[in-house]
Amino acid sequence: MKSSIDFLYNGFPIHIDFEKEGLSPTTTLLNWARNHGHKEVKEGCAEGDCGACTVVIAKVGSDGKLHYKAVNSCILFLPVLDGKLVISSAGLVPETHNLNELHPVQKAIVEDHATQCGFCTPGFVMSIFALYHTKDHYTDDKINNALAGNLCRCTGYDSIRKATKAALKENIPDFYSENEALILKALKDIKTNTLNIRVGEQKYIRPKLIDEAIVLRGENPDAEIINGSTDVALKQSKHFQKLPVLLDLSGVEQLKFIEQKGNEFHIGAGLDLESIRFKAETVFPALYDILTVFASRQIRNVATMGGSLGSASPIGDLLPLIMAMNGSLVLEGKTGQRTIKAIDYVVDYRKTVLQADEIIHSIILPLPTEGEIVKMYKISKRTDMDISTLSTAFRLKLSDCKIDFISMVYGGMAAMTIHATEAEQFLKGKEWNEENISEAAAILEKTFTPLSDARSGDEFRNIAAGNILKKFYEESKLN
Amino acid sequence: MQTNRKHHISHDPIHDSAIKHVQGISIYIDDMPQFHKELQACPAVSPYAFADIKNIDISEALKAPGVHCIITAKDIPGENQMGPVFHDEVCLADKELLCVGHTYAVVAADTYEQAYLATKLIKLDAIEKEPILTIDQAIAADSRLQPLRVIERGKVDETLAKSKHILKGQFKSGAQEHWYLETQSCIAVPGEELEMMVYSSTQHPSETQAIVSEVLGIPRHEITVETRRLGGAFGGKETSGNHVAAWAAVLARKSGRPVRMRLTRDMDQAITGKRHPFQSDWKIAFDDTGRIEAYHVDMHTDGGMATDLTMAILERGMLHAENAYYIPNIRINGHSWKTNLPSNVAFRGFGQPQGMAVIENAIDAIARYLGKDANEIRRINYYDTKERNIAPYGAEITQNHLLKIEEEILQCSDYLNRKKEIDDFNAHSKFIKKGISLVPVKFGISFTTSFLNQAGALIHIYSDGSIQVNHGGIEMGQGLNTKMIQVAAAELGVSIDRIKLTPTNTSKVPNTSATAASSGSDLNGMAIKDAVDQLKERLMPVAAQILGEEFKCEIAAENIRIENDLVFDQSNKKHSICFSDLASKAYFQQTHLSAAGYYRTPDIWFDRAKGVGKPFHYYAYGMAVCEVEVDTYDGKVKLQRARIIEDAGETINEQIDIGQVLGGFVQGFGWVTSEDIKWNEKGRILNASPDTYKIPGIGDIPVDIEVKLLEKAPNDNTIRRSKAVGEPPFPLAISAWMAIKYAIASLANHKLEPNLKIPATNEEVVLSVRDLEERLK
Ligand SMILES: Cc1cc2nc3c(=O)[nH]c(=O)nc-3n(C[C@H](O)[C@H](O)[C@H](O)COP(=O)(O)OP(=O)(O)OC[C@H]3O[C@@H](n4cnc5c(N)ncnc54)[C@H](O)[C@@H]3O)c2cc1C
Ligand code: FES
Ligand code: FES
Repeated sequence: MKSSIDFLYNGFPIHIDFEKEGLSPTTTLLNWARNHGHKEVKEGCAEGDCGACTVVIAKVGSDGKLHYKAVNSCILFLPVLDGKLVISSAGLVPETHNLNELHPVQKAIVEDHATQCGFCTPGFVMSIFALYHTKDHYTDDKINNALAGNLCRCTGYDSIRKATKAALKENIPDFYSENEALILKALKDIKTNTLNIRVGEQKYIRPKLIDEAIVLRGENPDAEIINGSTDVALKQSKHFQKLPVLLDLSGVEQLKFIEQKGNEFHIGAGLDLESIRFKAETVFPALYDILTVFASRQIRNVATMGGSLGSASPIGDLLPLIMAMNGSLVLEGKTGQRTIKAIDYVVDYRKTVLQADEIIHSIILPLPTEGEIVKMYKISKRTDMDISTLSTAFRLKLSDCKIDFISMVYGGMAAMTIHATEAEQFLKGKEWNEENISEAAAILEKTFTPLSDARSGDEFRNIAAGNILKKFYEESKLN
Repeated sequence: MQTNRKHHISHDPIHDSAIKHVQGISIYIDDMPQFHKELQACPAVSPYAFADIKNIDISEALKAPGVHCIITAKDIPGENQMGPVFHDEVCLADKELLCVGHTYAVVAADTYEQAYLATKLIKLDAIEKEPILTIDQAIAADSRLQPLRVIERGKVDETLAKSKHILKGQFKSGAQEHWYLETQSCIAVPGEELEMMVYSSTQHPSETQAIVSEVLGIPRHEITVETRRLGGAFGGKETSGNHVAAWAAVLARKSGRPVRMRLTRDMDQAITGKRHPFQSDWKIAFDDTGRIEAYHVDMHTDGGMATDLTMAILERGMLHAENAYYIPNIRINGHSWKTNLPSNVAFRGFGQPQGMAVIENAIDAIARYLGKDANEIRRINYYDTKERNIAPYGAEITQNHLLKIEEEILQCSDYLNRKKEIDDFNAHSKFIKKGISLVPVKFGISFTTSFLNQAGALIHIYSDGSIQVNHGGIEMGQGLNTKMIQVAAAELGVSIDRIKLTPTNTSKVPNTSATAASSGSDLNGMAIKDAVDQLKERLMPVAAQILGEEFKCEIAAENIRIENDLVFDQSNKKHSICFSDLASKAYFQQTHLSAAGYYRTPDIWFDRAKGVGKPFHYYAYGMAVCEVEVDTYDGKVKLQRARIIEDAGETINEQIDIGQVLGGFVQGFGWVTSEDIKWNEKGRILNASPDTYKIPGIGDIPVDIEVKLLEKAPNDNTIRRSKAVGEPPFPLAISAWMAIKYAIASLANHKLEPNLKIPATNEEVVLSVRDLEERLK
């Protein structure tokens, strides 16, 4: 156990001893950086929505190489950096006023006139820099998706997209690829033991092993669990709430797995959503699709399924699909593991059956079987980087045009994610045709009593609840 | 995007800060290093929309950790006043709380967090009153902000009464949050005696200086406001920056310490004003061909709790009520309403988009009513060049490029064929519907308050030949400084590397106007030219003498030219020296190498009472054709293709101008689609963070988007024959909205007029579709 962290900032070693410095461990990377003169990291919202604060975190991957990920520094707590490399826009090249000495990503932005006021630019540079170091074939859609977490109010984006394409055509080694061996060595030299940080009243624990985590969970039943902290960190970054005891599971590698066992995905609660997305692309398109419009690349790079289910939010984007697939959660506590059905997991508004000594260990997600049509729809004001106004996961099995089975799970329509039981029952055994769908849609319009809030009025939610089924019907005919 | 990359583009200089921006080393206010003993401040704001203040108890808050100073209205040494034109807004609420977010106290502490936590300890004792939260409520309560304004020509009522066809309706457009990436920021640093140095994220340093002087009760010469650059502004820092500056200055005066104040995003969104919502009741008369005979419109705008710039914004809306069309009989009534919402403020377009949207929607309705293509209706109503070319306020519509632009855009957008394809698609598609629309914009350039059309510049040539240029405008991303460097370099004949542009500072150029109304380069460019002209006048005789001595001949001053850093005799170009030598020698010859330039726009005036005048120096024109795809089930809108042509005169920097056009268009696209603000019944804003307030993201902008600047369209009598390009592209996005309406109307085979407002969010689209379906039954 240790109470200090070591990481590299733009290649320079940083040592932070929280207790000695009297620094709260829930200080965000953004605030720390700006307080230490790294003004290139900008704050645009402090809630993960604008990307101005984007930095890249590189760490040693399982293949022994450096893996680069763009993240929002405004909602990332410092202890997570232990043993990692942080790169900001000021760290790509030595400060220069010469266009030709810039990093290819920076140069492309300048040459394509993709910066105006410049406030969003350091964040865009870093999101694109992460792509520069992640070999892939970047189509327009992929670029859009990777940059969905970066807002620009000046340029209208077209120039930024052009610059991104131009930069990704380059293959010039940069400081980080040229010095990869040195950096790897420096990172491997950092001993990343379990962290146990106490500053004043605050306690921050970051175990490395699952067994340790379970013991610590038992010892600290009042601890708030965090993983990607993309949900919890806002309490600090926006509302300056005290977070007295935190149990950070992001250091537990054993929770970061995804395996296909028979016809099921077994997904560790600590695996980042972006990794799940890549894995789902060919195997489970509905999961891939929903993850593609889940927050942004920066958020998905750290956010987890454990966190999504842990918050038990009625507008969470994963529970509807997991419920429609009749998935389960594996919960682990002192007494071992237990498996419960996703449908039984949430019991009331943001209340679950999780016991004070338990954590979510993993999720068992059945994959669509032969002949099943599974689709998930997310309705939001903006397609990318938005929270659902409502969402629905459908799972349908037809035999001879008759409905063998249909599951419709709605998010955003009630205090919890719920099945549209009445419409499900109405449709069961009936013909899959327009008339029945219209009737079921009419039922759906009256099934829920949703809220009117910032995202929409209740009338829209009700009409859309029925319309989604109609859309699913039309699209199912194309299958 | 395929821009028309012409040969000269590569010569256009890049944005002068671009290389710094990409490294993150450009300095914004909050990036400035901490001052010695600096404090950080946070406002305490009203939770009530309307209330009488009984007592503000700060005693507990003062004891909170790190707190050094708290101000309330009592602590304002000067006048408790914030209004830029009408003095109807206080700096800190003292008697009444007029909206949720109305600031009544400000705390300064060692850290922002401490200041924020301390605001929660202030005890506010207030008695709530019934607020007015909508235009309808304001009308019912006759809660007028300022008296009715009218612009009128011809026989409106008579024509409306006898015309064969009449349509009428109500049109609404909503509020919009600026969402500049850099929130309002300021650092106030007390100096000797009364001096106050104010680093402010303001578009209008002179007004910030004026307001700080009023609240501190000291003359303006004690106050220096400096602004290097803004991280976006869009009108949102024209007056809104003054609040933060005034609070920081009062705190700095009281505590004797530098005070930094940066609003958090949520605070910024909750307490600053927005684009003015408009609600317009219109009536239009036309003949069988669709030619407009008369138009009557009552524009109602929600000014919020104070006047701020509402009257100028409403005025611009009224002055663009007819957009690009000649309307012989027209009456525009402008009503401004006072509500219990934060005072609405300037926003790119400044009322023009709101005013123009009404007539565009009406024309669309005429087309549907007559069963014609909307563009046909537009064409027969466009302003002419010889007759039918007088605006409702009596000014001649000059440099009319409408038909030329129309011809080009019909061609490059392939409007007619695409429209046919879209109709075919719609005929076969069940719930995905497409739409297309062409919308023109005519945008008057100048502050409509005529005296504001003035600017100053200050140029120093140092004896090493390097040059410093300063002007009264503010760089907020729009590339103003880059253009001003270009102007100075071109007018003087030197390379741009010689020129350094320094932060805008009220002690260098005084009494400036806001960088607003798209006027930045027009006004400041001319002022720079004036300064350069003065310097040249002084330098030419010296150059003639120096060259004469050097080459031992007689050279006339009129023959001296400066080009590419070379000073030469045009009758014998071998007789030359480099500019640095000239500077150095001129210095030794005791030449004054500094000049203050000045410019005021000639021949513009406007008589508000009569509603007549020549309020604009010139007009900028543009058109856009947008194609959208609308999912009528879930309301999702996808912009699929856009073609834009903008008249930028003879552009000074094509890439910068194209960036302005695209950026403006996309911001307008947000206004007409996803940017929605709701308030609850208590007057609290529901969309006060990017979590629920959605500006366009990269995925909302198609790859198939193309911007062209109109060629061969030099402007008269402006700096380097250019035109303003900041605001005119914004309302072009109304074409996207119109295309959405087209898609919805296709559900009723274009027989019924959809009810649709701005913004057409997914919710608005689905409700509009439902309404249409119900009317179809
Ligand atoms: C900008 C932004 C956009 C977002 N967009 C979306 C979106 O599109 N769709 C969506 O559904 N959500 C969205 N979210 C919400 C949220 O970030 C995600 O749901 C995310 O999956 C949470 O994961 P995390 O690991 O970061 O959670 P954390 O913040 O670490 O934790 C969230 C909650 O889960 C609990 N928890 C975490 N791990 C465990 C565990 N192993 N066992 C038990 N409890 C645990 C925590 O105690 C906490 O209560 C968004 C958030 C932000 C900031
Ligand atoms: S500051 Fe906006 S995402 Fe971090
Ligand atoms: S350049 Fe200003 S926000 Fe992107």
